[in-house]
Amino acid sequence: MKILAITACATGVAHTYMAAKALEKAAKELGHRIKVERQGAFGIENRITEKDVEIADVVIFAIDTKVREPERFNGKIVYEVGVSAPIKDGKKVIDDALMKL
Amino acid sequence: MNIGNVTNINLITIDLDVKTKEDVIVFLAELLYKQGIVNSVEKYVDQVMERENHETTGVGKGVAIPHGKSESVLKSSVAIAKLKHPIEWNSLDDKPVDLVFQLAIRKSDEGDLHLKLLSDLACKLMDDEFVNVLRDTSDKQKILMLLD
Repeated sequence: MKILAITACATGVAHTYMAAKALEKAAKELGHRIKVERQGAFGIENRITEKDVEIADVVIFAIDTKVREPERFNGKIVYEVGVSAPIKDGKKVIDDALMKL
Repeated sequence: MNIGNVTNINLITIDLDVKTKEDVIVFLAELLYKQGIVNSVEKYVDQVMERENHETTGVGKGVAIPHGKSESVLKSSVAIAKLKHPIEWNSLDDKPVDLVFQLAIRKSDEGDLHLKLLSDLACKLMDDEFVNVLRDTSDKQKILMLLD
């Protein structure tokens, strides 16, 4: 499966990056492809492009603040969780997201 | 990563003997104050507690990363404590915490190198092996080296 994710937390220094790492690790273990955009104190990193969105199966928002430029994902299935959820259990977040398909 | 930019040996405490997470946060805030990193213990602690109450920073496996972004922070830094006894931190995995990395984030530091170092450190803490090695050492100099 091709998964896209956005991680974003209010302070943007710790949870944003830890959640991103957790999702990347979990996707790898589950055998999925993933691209995770970090929206933190440095702005947008590893930006998700139009092409990425086109081919994605599902989008995960692991956030506790607003997503920047959310209109990119119009029309896609989005699964939203708190930014700590992937840190707690990345595989569960991905599995639950895929259940929405 | 040049960890010396965001911490030093005086910001590391081993065998900290306290009872609650508030105790840890205040202790480390006072350390940061003594090192000239924050200019108001109260304001900084307020921010850390606000963040903590919003969502726990007990990220699991005995590690906590409390952090506060505040105007009272003069230089983005991290203070580190190894606790004598694990304490309750309302962690994501419900386990008590014995390793604390408390970040002080300067408000105007968006995009700064120091912030990058801090978020790199946060990422490293997701690595079990890294955490275990840190947990096994009580030598402050060694801890500094491991973080680098």
